[in-house]
Amino acid sequence: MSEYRYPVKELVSDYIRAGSGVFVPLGLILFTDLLPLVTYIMVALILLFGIYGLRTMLRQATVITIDDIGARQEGPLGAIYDRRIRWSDMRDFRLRYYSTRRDGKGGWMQLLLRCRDGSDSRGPIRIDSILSDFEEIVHQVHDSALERGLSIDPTSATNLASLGIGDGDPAARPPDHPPDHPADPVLPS
Amino acid sequence: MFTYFTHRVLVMIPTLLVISVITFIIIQLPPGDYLSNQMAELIASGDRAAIEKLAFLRQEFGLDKPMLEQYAVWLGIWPGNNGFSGILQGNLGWSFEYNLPVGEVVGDRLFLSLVLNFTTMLFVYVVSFPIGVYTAVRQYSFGDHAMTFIGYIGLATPNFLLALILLFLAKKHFGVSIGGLMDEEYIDTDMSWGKFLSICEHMVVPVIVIGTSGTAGMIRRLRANLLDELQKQYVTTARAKGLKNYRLLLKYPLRMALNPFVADIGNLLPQMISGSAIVAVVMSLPTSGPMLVSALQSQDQYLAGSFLLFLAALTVVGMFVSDLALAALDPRIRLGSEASK
Repeated sequence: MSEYRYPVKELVSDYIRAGSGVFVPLGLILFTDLLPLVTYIMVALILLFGIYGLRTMLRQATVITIDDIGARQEGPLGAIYDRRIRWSDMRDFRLRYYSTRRDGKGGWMQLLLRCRDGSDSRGPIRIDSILSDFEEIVHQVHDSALERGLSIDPTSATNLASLGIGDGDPAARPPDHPPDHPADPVLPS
Repeated sequence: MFTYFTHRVLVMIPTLLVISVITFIIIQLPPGDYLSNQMAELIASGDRAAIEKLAFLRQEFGLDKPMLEQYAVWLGIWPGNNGFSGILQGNLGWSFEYNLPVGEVVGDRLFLSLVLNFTTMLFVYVVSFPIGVYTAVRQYSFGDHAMTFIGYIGLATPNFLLALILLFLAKKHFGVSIGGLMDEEYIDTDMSWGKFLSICEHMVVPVIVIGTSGTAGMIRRLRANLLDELQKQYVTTARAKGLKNYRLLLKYPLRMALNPFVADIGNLLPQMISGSAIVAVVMSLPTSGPMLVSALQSQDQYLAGSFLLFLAALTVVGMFVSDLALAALDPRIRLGSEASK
């Protein structure tokens, strides 16, 4: 069983973002006489970055546990926030890459684990690449998905390949496992 | 996606601020300002009263203050002679050329520019999407050749020439009056059903003129991308598995081919805005283009600045929408780039 946490030093920039997103618009509202439309936009920004700040605090207290049974997410809000997905209940996983830069560099990845409807598991679980040993988690999830013959979408396959996992071919699955949905094509990158 | 959204918003705000700084610097770059140019003429003519009035206006609008202070007052983050009274407070400044507040001079022009550009964009996507898909799926058919021919004409014909031809044809065959975005009886009146219909009627020709080259380019791009996808192995595999052509097309190749289509929103907007300025001059459209050109020529700084900022904001918002759509559609790491971790 392995436990993973979001390192505080990685979350500092998120706190700075949240702080600047809340206090700059708040300062403009308090110290200048804004047009009503601009005031509404500023309030929306304060709400957006307020939620972002709260979420960052939540992530700081989050513990992700990966073991042979499945993945778990536990945090300070108990049952509201906690998630648990057994590998046997995993419907699929997605690996997404986001970057705000034009050249696509300096971005981050997000791993999304989803469980089957009607199973005992409770999902989804979202894990960002700033989590310690993120690649190790992706490896485990990928191996588990392959064992169960789950299909991997082309976007995830390309992102996995950039981490050195797989060859970017979503068709890479054990030969003894048929596709989950026979009507779905097996996709290359 | 929430993280991406907040990060992208956070990028957009400084971008707008930097654009506002650059805009302000550009309109301040030529030596002197509108009032000093006027003063030189009045000194030559010896009109003392007018000279005193201009000196008063210089002080009133803070034109004798440092550029940084002028900028902060213009934006509304620093108090001027009338307290906080800048763009953030809804005060776009004073037009020296028209001797009126910029808001009054601009009138409906910003709104009409927005409507015109938005409608053109809608036209580009609504027309190019089905044609692009059709020409790719029916490659080398008569329809493909016909659409390709029309597309090349659209790409090769200058907008102003197309504008003149369409104006003539619209007048001759449909009785649409030449020039403007509405009939003369509706100018400077409140919005009404009649005015709305008149705007819609007059907008047909400008939208076609401004949107034609964008549509043609978009058709070519979508066709090329879709053809590329349709030739991949997975399409053959899917066909071999018995997947119906229509379902196969919608499920993967079309989604993959849409990426550049969506990403182009950001590139299309600036092209359309600059293109619409020339067309607006030719077609006498009451949009922001002709007035912006005039304001820049006469160094009417607040009027020019307001227009430039509005157009830049429109582009930045367009890029924002485009990036969000692209991130939702295909959050894939690009070749040559790597995740930070």
